[in-house]
Amino acid sequence: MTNSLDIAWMLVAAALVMSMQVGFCFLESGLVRAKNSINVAIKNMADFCVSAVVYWLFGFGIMFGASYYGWFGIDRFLLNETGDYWLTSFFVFQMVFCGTAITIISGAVAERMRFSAYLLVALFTSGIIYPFFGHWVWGGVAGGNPGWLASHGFLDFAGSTVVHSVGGWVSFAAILVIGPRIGQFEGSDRKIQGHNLTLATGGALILWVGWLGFNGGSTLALNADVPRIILNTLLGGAFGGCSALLMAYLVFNVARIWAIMNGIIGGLVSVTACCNLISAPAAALVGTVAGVICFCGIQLFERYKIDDAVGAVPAHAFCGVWGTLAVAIFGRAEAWGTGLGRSAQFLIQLEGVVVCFLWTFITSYLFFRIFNRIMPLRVTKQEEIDGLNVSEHGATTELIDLITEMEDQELVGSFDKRVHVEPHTEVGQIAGEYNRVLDRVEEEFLRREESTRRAKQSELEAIRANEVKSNFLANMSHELRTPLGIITGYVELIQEDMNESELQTHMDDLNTIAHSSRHLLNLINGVLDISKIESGQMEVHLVSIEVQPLVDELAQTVQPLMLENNNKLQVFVEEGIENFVSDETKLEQCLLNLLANAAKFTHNGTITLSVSALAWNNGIVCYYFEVKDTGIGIPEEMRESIFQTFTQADSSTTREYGGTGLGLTITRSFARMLNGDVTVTSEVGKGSSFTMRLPANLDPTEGAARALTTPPFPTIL
Amino acid sequence: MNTKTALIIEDNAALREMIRRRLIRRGLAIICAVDGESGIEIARKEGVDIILLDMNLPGKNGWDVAQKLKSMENTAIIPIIAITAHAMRGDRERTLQAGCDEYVSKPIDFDMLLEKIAELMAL
Repeated sequence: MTNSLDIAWMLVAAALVMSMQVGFCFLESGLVRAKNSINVAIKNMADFCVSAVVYWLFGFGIMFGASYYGWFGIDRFLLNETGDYWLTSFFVFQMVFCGTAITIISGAVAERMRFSAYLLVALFTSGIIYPFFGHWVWGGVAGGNPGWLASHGFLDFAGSTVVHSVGGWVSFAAILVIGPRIGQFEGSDRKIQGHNLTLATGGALILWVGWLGFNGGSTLALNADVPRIILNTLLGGAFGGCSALLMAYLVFNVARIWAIMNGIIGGLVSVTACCNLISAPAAALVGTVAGVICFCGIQLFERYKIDDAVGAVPAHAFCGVWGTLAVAIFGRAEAWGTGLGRSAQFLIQLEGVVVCFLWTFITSYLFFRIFNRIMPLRVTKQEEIDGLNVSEHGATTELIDLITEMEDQELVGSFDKRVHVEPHTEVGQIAGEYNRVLDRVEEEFLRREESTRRAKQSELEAIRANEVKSNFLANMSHELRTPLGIITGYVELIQEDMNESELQTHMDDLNTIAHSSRHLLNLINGVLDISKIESGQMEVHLVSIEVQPLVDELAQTVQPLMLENNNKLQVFVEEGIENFVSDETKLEQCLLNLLANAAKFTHNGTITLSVSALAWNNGIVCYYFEVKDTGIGIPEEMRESIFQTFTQADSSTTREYGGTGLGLTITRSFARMLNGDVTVTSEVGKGSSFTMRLPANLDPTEGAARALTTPPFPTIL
Repeated sequence: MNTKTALIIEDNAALREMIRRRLIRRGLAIICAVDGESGIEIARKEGVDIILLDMNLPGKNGWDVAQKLKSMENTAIIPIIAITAHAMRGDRERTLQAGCDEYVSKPIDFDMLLEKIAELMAL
């Protein structure tokens, strides 16, 4: 009775259906991130192993064994029929069907379900959910009484409901229990993207090819129906793909890859139940509607934040429902063989669909909830972040290796090593480029370090040079002073000798020597003072100063200078001024400088020294020492530069008036060391007025500390 | 006779000679020492009335000499006038801390030196 062509066709179809495992494997692993790709692929392979074993052990028996009141089969366990070729072929064909139903789940739960938990899900589905429901619909196909849904007249030709909805509803229950992937619905619009869409697309195409066997083989014979079934299958897939693509254009304005892929699968799923009963135009229509259902289903899931990693539930469960109902809508009533009217058939179809949902979804949802308590279905947060390839299988990819190496560098903060470059790969190119960037950054860092080092070095050198200069000047001044002291000392000694012996020869010459020596000494003292100020060695000795005696003594001291140019000196001390705290030596030196300058640049005039006290702008009482002359005056443009070293109002004045050009510099520096200042007003031809302001509130105990502060002194010499 | 004796401890021969001759002219008896060790020795043995001490001596420097002199019983009361280069920071404090009674800086203002000698010996 058995036709060998039928056997051959069934076995070829079985092989085609098994190729769907490859299709699913590519599709699902391409749609996930690289860090989970191997995990998804391995789940696809392992679930087939599990379901094949289980199906042989007892699944097939439950589904196609002699029926127990239409509820489940009770024989044909561990099938080992040696003589019945047809039954063996049928078993093979059904075994790969079961594998298909199970492998749908792996895509939906991808990237987060624990591998071991997934194997149990596969075991549970292939051992209980699938064979029981299968018996209700298909029981009796291989002989014996039909299942209870079949006896009601429920029609599902190749398994829109039996295979695809079952896989879809189990997936739905699973993703509700385990929840969405980390990062899928958090924050930005940017969703998790598949790492290899080319692979996924290839997988979808392989699925399509396999589907020809899935539907075509479901006749279980090579008969006249097969070509139409295959045509309808192709049309369903094609129209499903087109309509979903159109939806994507309408909604996103872009041909989304997932849209066309899921549209094709949805179309294929929907025609699976009815392809033997409908016309080609009807198949096109069924596929078209399925494409829309699939597209909208995915949108709906996103809105409700239900994370189906590959869109398995809309494509398999929703489209499976639609295809099963389409049997009653588009099927040729005379071909149903149930004897029912269209509406009655529709109700039966609806019953089957609802029973499938209730049985599959509720059972598996409860099972997963309980199971999840005992052993978590989901990997830990860290494992999920690391990726299931590594955390579940210790399997890496070049990309993961590269990222791991980069992360290590980031954590340690050490960039002296370079990452491994896998030759002739894209990841290798990235690694190479990363290394080159590191090289460049390192180069830049070295360059900056070098220039910083140089800048520091030259700064140090400058400081050292200034120190050396100051020390040199201090030492040189000291060394110069000793012989100069001897010269002046001996001149005075000779003068004394000559006075004693009443010898007057060379007295003028000796005076000239003495005068020049004194000038040189003043110059050296000035240079020494300035170098001490510059090198921070000038000290301040604060004492209480009696103003009137100081001024009187000064007047006495400068009297000879006044007489030189026939000048008159007037001294005014404001009433109430008695004493104040400052550095007496420095004050004296400053006033001497100012008075000597005034005497030098004034002829036949009057020089006035007046002392007054006045609150300055910050409320501190200050003493003002003003030295006013009726001399040649200072041009405006020179009034600041005269305070610089070796500067006089005019270089010719040096020749005419002598002087070291250091006096005002030192005076201002001293005044500033004492928290005061020296200012000048002048009118050319009429005279000048120098005012030294010194605060009266200095604390004598501050003396030592104040000596340490660098005076506000311009860099000179 | 009531001639007072001054001890000059100074390593620079020209300077030492100049001071010696000018002080002799003022009626002082002068003993000279070229370094600290011999200066201390002389001060201890001879009865001197005042010591002019150069702070910048070879070997044992002026500060050590002053301290030593002020620590010995029979020299402690002899007044010391420090002669310093007036070049380095803190010189003044250090000389006074070391026990010197007065302080003149180089080059020596001779009138001032005489004044100080007179003051110290009058005490």
